[in-house]
Amino acid sequence: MQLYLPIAEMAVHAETILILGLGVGFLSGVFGVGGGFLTTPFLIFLGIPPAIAVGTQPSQLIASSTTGVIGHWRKRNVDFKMATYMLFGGFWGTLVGSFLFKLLKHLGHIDITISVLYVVFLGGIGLSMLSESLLTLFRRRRGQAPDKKQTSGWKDRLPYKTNFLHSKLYISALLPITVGFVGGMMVSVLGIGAGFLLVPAMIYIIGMPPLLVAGTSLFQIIFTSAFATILQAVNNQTVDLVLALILILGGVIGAQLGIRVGKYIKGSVARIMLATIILAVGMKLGSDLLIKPSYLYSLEVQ
Amino acid sequence: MNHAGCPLPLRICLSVMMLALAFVFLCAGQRHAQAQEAAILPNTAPPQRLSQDIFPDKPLAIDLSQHKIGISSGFSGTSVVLFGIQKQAGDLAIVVRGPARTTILREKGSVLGFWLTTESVRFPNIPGFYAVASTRDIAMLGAPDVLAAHQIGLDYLTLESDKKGWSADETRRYEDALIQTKQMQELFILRTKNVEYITDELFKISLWFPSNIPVGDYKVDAYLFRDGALIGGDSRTLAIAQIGFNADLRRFAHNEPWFYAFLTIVTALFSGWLATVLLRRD
Repeated sequence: MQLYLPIAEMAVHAETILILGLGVGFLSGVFGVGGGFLTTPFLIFLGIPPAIAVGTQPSQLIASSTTGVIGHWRKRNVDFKMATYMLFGGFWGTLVGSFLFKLLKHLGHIDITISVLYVVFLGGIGLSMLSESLLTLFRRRRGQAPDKKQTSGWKDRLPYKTNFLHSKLYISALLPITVGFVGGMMVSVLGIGAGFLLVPAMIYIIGMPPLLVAGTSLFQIIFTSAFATILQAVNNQTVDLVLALILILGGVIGAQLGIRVGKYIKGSVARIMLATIILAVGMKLGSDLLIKPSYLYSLEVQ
Repeated sequence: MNHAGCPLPLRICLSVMMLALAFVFLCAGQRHAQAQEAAILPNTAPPQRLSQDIFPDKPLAIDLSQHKIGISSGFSGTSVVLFGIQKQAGDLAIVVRGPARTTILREKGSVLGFWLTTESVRFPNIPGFYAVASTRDIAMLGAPDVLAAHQIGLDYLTLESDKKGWSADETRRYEDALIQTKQMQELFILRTKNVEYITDELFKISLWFPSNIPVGDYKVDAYLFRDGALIGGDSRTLAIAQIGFNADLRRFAHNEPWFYAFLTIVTALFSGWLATVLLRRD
C-alpha cells in the first residue's frame, strides 16, 4: 500500500516500513538496545531523506522502549536509580558532544572521523562481547564455574559511593554518570542512539546484573529519544508523524514479541546474538568505507 | 480489574496523556479549519499566457485537463493530459518545469583507501522537476542558442554552480552527474515522440508526475518550431500542493513545532502503553 508522507513529501510502501519497525522492535524487546543504528540506515536506503530519517527514528524508539520498559517493570527488572544517574551524565555528555562535533567540523575530516569511530566502536564492542559470552557458554558446557568477578581495585577506590539497592551494587556514583556521559557524547558526535554501546558498558563496566540491563537501558532511551524528538521538531521540522506511526505500529508489536522470546533465551546466548548483529553492522559500514560504491553521486535538495 | 504490573499512578498518568492527545487534535483541527479555506490552491487566477503575445496570430494554443494536483495520503503519482491546437505545420516541444530549488551534488572519492564524500557542488537554481517531450529529437528542432534561450531539452539547461575556475571538462562532468541523478529519481524526464495527434491540428499528451514530485507552482510550456525557427508558443500553470489531513499536519509541524513535538512524544508513549495492554497474554 502506497502512503504519502506529509513531511518527507514522498510516497512509501507502508508494508516495508511496518516490517522494518517489527524487526527493530523485536531486537529492542530481546536485547534492550534501541535499534536506531539499524532503522536510520534502512530508512535512508528506502529513499527517505537522511534528515527525516534521523529526525523521525527517535519517536519510534520512544514507543518501543515504553512498551519494553513496562514489560520489564512488571518483572521488577528496571533499576530506576541507576538510569537516573546515567541520564544525568548523558545530558552533559550530549552538550559536550555537540561542542566536540562543531570542533571536529571546524578542523575538517569530520566524515572520516565519524565513519572510522563508528566501525571501530561496533567492531570492538561486538568482538569483545562475542568472545566473552562464547567463553562463558563454553565453560558452562564443561561444568566449570565461571570466574569469580574480580573486583578490580580502581573501581573500589572511586569516591561518592552509592547504594544501588535494586542492582545489589555499592559502587561509586561516578561509574554510571561517566558511562551515561560517554553515551551522550556518542549520540551527539555519531548522531545515533547509543543503546548498543550502553548495554555492554552497563554489564562490563558498571557490573549490573544482566537481567536488569535491558529494562534500565530502555528506560533511559525514552528520555534521550524524547529530547532528540523535541530538538529535531523545533530546530529542523524533520519529524514525520505519519512515518513515525507506521514505525511505531511495527515497533511495539515487535517489542512485545521480543520480550516473550527473550524469556526463553539464556543471557549468554542473547549476548552472542547481539554481538553478532553489532559485528555485522560494523562490517557492513566498514565495507562501505573500503569498497568502491556502485554510484558515486547523491543529491540534497534544500 | 487486576493489573498487577501496572500501578495506579501510571494508569492515571497515561489517561491524562490520552486526554491531552484528544485536546491537541481538536485544537489543531479548529485552528486550521479556517486557514485551509484561505490557503486553498491558487486555482482561480487566470492562466498565464506568456508566449502568446509574442506570436500575434496565435498558431499554438494549449490547456491542461487539470490546473492543480492535490496530494493526499494515497497519492502515488498522477497524470495530467495536455491538449492543444496547432494551426500551422511544425514540430512541438512541451516542457514541464517545477519550482527552482538549491540543489547540492555530492561526489564520493577515495581518500587513503576510504570512500568518502570528496566533492560537494552547490547549484543554487535547479528546477525540482523538469520533463520534456517533443515530436522529433530536440537537437533537430532549432538552433542551440534558441533551445538554450528557452531552456528546452536536458542538454540545453543552464545549470549554474557556485564553483568558479573549473575547466569545461569538470563543469560538464558535474552537470552530467546532476542530470543523471535527477533522471534516476524520475525528476528529470526526457521523452520524444509521444505526442498524439487526434486530427492534423488537435493533439494531446499525457504528462506523468511521479509520487516524489516536489510541491509548488509548475509551468507547462509548449513551443512550435518550423525550419529551425520558433514560430509559436503557449503556456499554462499547474499548482501541486498537499491537501486534507496531510496539509494540516505539515502546517501544524511548521507553525507549532513545540506542540507538534509534544504530540509526537505523547503519541509514541501512548502507543507503547497501548501495545502492552492489548498484547498481554495473561
